[in-house]
Amino acid sequence: MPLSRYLIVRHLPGHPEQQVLFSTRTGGLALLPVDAPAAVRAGNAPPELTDSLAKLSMLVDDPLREQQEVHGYLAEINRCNPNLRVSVILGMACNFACRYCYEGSLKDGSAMDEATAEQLIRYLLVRYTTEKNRLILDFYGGEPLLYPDLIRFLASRLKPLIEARGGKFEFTLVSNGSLLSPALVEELLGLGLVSAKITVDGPEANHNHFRPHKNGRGSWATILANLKDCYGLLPIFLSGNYTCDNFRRFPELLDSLAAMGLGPEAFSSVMFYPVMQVNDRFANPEFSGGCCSMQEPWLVVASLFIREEILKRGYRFPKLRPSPCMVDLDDAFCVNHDGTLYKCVTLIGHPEFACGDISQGFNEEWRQRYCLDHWQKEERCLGCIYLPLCFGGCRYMAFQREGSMARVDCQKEFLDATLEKMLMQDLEYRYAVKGALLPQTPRPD
Amino acid sequence: METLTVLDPGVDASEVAASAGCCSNRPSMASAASGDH
Repeated sequence: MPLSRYLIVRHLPGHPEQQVLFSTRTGGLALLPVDAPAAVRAGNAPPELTDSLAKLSMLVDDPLREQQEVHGYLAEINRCNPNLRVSVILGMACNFACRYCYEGSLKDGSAMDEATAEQLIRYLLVRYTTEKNRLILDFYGGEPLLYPDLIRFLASRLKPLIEARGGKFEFTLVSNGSLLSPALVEELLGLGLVSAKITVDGPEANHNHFRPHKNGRGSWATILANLKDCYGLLPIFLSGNYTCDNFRRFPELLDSLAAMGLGPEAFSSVMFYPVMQVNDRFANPEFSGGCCSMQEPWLVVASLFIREEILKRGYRFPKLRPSPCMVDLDDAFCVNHDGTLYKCVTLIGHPEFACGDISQGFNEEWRQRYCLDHWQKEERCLGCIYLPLCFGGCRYMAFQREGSMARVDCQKEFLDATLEKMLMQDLEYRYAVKGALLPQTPRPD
Repeated sequence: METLTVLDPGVDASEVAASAGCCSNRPSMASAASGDH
């Protein structure tokens, strides 16, 4: 049986007798003695080992069939997706004036009215077909917690209707955290709230520079106090956005949180992202510190540094897994406050990427506009070991960079430069394989 | 005896589907596309 073409095999620093196996198709991770892969290839490996590797999809019967399965992976995800997942932009009011916000001048305070909310409920009930067992709404803004009555209205109406069909209704918040309070959280938990994603941009001075209140007042201390007050009430995903100038200071935030008693157990995960340079007409023209591509060399250093600092402090960082984009999912989309449908929250305000509305449903043209399956036309993607982790990258980033989604946003260079080191970080910090981060010693093979 | 140490069995398509719809967990993702704004 041949090894999977989506298998990465690397020597393990500090453990010359071991190799690391990682499947980009499943995110599976294993250690194996160095001579075992050769024995597997030669057909001399014990059957229990080949059986175990086959169960992990690290050995395959037919490499061509495996490749075809990966090319059909998104279709398979759509066939077995148990969820209807919808990002709902409640309104464009926000109490912050973040320097890099891609929504920029779109934040005019307009909001979903009652008739649109009623129609949204009707539309969601149509889209929530009998094969589904969970409706997940991601409430988004502006700042969603400026619209608590709208959240209450939508959740209190939808929850019993979905439950009456034997399903589960859940919602999440993508919030700046400034209005999070225990009383509100406890109330919303009863309506289906399951988690919140809160953004803090590193240490206090940096955060207050990039994410001030509209009146210029800092917001860091308020958010951290709210996180402390809400500790243990709901899963919190901590997020933050860094630039090439400030990423090295982001770990200071984790030390501040730990000093407040918000250690690793306080967060479901911590993940910081490079700020994307947004070049469209809504964005702040004075902001210029973002990245236009994951190929920018500083991102390799920054992303590995950030990841290691998070992991070494014991905070949870999301595992390496296939993670399909909303554009590729049949049952995931975004509803703007006016009822317009999009396939990504970042594209609101771009009428050319509107896909229809909640009265008429999706139009026929959106698949062409979003260049669905663009990666299937690229030979470099079809043969790429990283395809399950990428599937053509980020269309929004390609659009911002090139003015078009037609070409894939190739992640190969970035993953070539980072994936092996990410695996070694995982071994060292998640699995306590000491020495994994030692420099590699060149080997004769 | 060749000893395999499984640290993470990985996920199949149904497990990926159950948590799909938010691409913020991708290993290479910038702020806006991760939903941060």
